[in-house]
Amino acid sequence: MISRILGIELRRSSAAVTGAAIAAVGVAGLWTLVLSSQGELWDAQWTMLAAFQRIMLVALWPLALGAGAWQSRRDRRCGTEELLGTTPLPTWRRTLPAALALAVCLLLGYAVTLASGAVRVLGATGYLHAGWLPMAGVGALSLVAAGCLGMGTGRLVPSAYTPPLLVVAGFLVLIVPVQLSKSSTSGRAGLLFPNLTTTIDEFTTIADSVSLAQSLWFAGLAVSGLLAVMVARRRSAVVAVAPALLGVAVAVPLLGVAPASGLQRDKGAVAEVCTHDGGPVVCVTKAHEKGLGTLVGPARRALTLLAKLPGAPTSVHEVTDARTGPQPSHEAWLSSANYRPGHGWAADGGNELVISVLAGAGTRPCEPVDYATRAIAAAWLYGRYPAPGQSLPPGEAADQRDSAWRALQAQPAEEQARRIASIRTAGLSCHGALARELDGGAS
Amino acid sequence: MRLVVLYLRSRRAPMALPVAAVGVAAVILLGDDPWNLPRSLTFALLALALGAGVLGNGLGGAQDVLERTAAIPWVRWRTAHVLAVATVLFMAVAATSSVPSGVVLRDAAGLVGLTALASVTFGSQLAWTLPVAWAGTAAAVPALGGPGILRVLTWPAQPPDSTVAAVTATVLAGVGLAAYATRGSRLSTWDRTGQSRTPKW
Repeated sequence: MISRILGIELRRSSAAVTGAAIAAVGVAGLWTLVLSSQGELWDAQWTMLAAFQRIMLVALWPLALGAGAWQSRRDRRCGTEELLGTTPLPTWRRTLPAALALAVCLLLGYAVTLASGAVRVLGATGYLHAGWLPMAGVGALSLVAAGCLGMGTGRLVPSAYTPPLLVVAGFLVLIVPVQLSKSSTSGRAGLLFPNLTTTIDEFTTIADSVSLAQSLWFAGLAVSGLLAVMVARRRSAVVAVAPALLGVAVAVPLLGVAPASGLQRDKGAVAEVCTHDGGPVVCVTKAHEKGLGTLVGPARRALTLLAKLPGAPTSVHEVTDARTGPQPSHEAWLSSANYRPGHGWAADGGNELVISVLAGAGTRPCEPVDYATRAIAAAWLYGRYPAPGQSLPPGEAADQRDSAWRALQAQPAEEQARRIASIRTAGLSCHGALARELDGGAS
Repeated sequence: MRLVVLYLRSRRAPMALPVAAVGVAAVILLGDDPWNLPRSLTFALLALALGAGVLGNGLGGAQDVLERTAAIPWVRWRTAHVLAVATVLFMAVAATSSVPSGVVLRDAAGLVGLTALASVTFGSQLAWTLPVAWAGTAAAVPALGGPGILRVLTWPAQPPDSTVAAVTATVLAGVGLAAYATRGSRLSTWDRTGQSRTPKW
């Protein structure tokens, strides 16, 4: 019986239009970024797509609230409220199918948005995994919660002004914490909001305990909204507060054990993928697996050039900024920042990529990054200054680097090699200033 | 004069005006900051959205079909109505917000035009949809520069000197006003079908 009425509600109520509107706004949000060549904000990885859709909830969530409020005022708007009130069916039998239809359509709208983005992500990454599904699921659940909450509010405050006021209130709820907080991070309390406020990179994901807590909290909210829709008398809608409170009571302790930002490293994405063809080993992260092919050639050329140094490295590894040292002396490290999602490793026949591996004599940048010294080490190993991709606009920085290069060239050949090797040693441990090693380590 | 009073009552103005005024003032008091123009603009936008959403409900009456049989110049009345809504909104927000009044004027005109457009397309009960959704989204996402299409999409949050935003607002205001003045609100399903169709049995 319910399923037949649900079918009618799906066809005849505003739920389908709402779902289509949510999908339209979501797809437009994703693809306007592509049109303005900012697609790398979401298209590099599945977690990034799921996270970006959570960011877009800042607009979708209030709209779902308003759609719910509009839907639940239907009987009154059509002047059939009293007539339907005389039927012997309990209230929930009349109102539940409409709420379910709205929930189904909101889920579909969210899924369509996800699918439109998935087309692009599928082509950009070879890292297929299920770790992003909880992120997307929580987003969809929060949207359903908004729909139910809107319906409940519309039932309790059946005014023609409820939908617009509720949408604006929804926007305020999501915007005010960001606007009024002095810092950009809103702490653990911010995790109770459906939307994310920052983009994440391809090596980051939302902690599982956070997703669990959020899904319990939004399930509580959704049940609250449904109860407000289903109770027979408006006065008994007080009980509707209980599930939401229960959701908070369960979610807050769970969020307490999670990292404050709610984010954690995606272990699967930073796992290494290496060559096994017998040559020198070249490794990239799983998230950048598609770039391995273009990296192998330049990386091996860089290893040949690095062989000038005593105790030269024998393998190249891509490392993320979060990878802690010290770097083993038999490895050359290449920062993940050299990989551009959608474009791969820097192109131009691989020469610039060789320089990227050689920068700092095969070490990763350490804070504070001394770009000039790293560039000189790369140029010395490469045998040409400035090496490809190293040209600087004329100015003080360029003059300083040029004079440092001339000072190095004025030294005997063995001293030059010794200084470059000590730059590498300093870079391996991330201790000591590279520039001092370049000056001979004396002063 | 009596006709004006009756018209305002039929548009539920005695209820809508206080609701809109209180709502606009509350939103702007919540977040207006004279030293932070982007933030003030965000809240001014939400206030305008709220006002347009509430007042937009009055773009239609309870019985539009019946009303249209009245021998009064509807084009003039509707034009005056839209202009009055825009003026009220502009004055309410410009008086309370610290956003430059040029921006308030641009956004009020564009959003009221959108309201009229939504009323013509979806009916006065849904007149709130377009202005609230567009202004709210523009308030929630950062105003984008770059290609023209992005500036058009985020026109309400663009800086005061943006030509693209001014043109977009003018077009929306003009089209909305013209469409509403000539066609009026879309009739409800009941009005369109229920009274003209004879039973089949």
